[in-house]
Amino acid sequence: MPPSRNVFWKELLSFLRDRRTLFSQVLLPFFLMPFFMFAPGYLVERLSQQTAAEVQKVAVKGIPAELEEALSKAGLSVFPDPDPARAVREGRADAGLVYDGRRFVLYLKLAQEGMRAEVLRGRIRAVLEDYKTRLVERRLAQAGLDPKVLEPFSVEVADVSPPKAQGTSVFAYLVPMMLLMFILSGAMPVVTDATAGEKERGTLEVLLATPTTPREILLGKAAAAMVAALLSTASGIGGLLLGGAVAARYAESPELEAFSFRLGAEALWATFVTGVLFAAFAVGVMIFLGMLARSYREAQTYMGFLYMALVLPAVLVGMASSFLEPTPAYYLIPVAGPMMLLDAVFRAKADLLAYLFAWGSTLLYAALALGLAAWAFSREEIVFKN
Amino acid sequence: MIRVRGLRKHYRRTPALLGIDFEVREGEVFALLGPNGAGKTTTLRALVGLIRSQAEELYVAGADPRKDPLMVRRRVGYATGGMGLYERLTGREHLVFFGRFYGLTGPELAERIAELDRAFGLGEALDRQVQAMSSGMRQKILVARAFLHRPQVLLLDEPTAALDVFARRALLDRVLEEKREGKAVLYSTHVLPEAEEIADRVGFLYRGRLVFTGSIPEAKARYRAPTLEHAFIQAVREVEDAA
Repeated sequence: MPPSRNVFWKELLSFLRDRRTLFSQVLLPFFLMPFFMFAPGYLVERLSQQTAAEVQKVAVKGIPAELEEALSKAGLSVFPDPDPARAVREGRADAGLVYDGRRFVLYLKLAQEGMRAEVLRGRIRAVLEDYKTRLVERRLAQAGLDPKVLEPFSVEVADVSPPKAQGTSVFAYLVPMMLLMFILSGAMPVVTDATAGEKERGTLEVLLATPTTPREILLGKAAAAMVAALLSTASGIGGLLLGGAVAARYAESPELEAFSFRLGAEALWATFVTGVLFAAFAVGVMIFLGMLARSYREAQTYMGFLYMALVLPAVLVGMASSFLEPTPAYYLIPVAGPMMLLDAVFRAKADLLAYLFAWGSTLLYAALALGLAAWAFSREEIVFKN
Repeated sequence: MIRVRGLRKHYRRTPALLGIDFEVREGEVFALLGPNGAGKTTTLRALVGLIRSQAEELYVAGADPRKDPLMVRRRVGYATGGMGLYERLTGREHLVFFGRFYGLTGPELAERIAELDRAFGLGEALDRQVQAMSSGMRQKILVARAFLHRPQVLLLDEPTAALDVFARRALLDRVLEEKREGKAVLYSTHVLPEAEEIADRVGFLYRGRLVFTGSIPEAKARYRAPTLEHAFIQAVREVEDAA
């Protein structure tokens, strides 16, 4: 068996036997991803629906009887009050509505009640709009005019994005960052154990004293770390797709369906290739950092900074998603490049240049990072620093 | 088997070895004696090619570790007192893992593991993960690993540092057995009575210099000392006085 494969199997066996790491890096993403990505949206939607169905109390003053009746028909409990604003403040009413003959003032606890107050505002505004329309129609009829005169045309909005892009959810811009984060978190325990951990245990010197080159040892360790990273990422993607399928299947409203997430075969392939290249880059950087560290804890501290390195590109991707039209040069930025490519893939906007620049540059950075790691493995002042 | 002339090593500006000479012949145990920081570990690392060094002549098991470190490592068994094991591998998996680096596989490897089991009494340690082993079991696996590929030369750096009395006895007996089989053993230690028991010749290493090499009786006679320990202390005093 070639030495690099021997090292690879040893590292992989150690990883697979580490139940806690296996659970937190491989199983947990699968079960947590649907929860994190879909549960908040689902919960908000359910609460909105519940709030909309609730009979909420509205204190009113000076409003026309026709409007009062319309509010009651909309499922609101309306009662007269000399000071509706005070009634809301004191908690006797959920909303207050006052009409002074010229304008309506709606009182709500917007800052305190948040979404609940927003939903109530929407309900009351809908009733007011409806009432206003009826008034206008009535007055136009009195003046002998067709109410349709106020609506010379209608407006419809249609999404003409390719079907592939329509499968992504409203938070698709977050997904690339999360995938790269899975790669980091999946590789980190293996790399830390295989570098600083080996130094701390005193096994690295024994390993280097076998008839094997440092490069072969590095290859085996890097390959095992990449497998762990990709397992973690696959688990995360699996969780996302499962959650997306469930959201699409059980969506009770178009708003909830917007949280669904689907990936076609092409997008899955692009994600896989991007993931492999980024994993090679990340593993190279991590091995270098792990070798510099004197202990397991020191290595974890160094590698913790890598998570921060994901945040800035994530902001860039967030901006690119909505406002920025990335030129090919953007895809050359380390970390940001693959993240932007994944974002473009999910939105069916990735062209050949985007693939070439992002994959080509990430491959180059991966080679540089692994070269740096190989250099660290061959430096006695680094290997024996503890 | 081991021939060293003018071996020097500097860690940046700190001198670690200042040109040491010694040789270890077939069927001989040479004990490299010295306090912590004397340069014993540096010497052994240089002999396996783990660190860069300068020397007029450097041969270990027929090869120069500076030019062909892999050839040297194939022929050498190396163990250090500070080394550890992989927590989630069993004793047997350790031996299989390291055996593969030396081309040992299948029945040949299984047979060798059985031999080591008999020699060191590995027993339960073979099929138990390291994290569930007692320290005694760990030590046995650590020591057995160095003998796995029947090396021509053994480089043992403070090998008994963490061993209990049983594992220590098994190791010393094994070293004497290897010597009888014609192997060359370089045994680095600061436990002088241990060296007195197994070494044919000794070298006193102090502050990067080999201040004495010769047999134990020669050392006692040279420094007019009743024991090897007294001889070593006298040698160090002479160096200090001269400085």
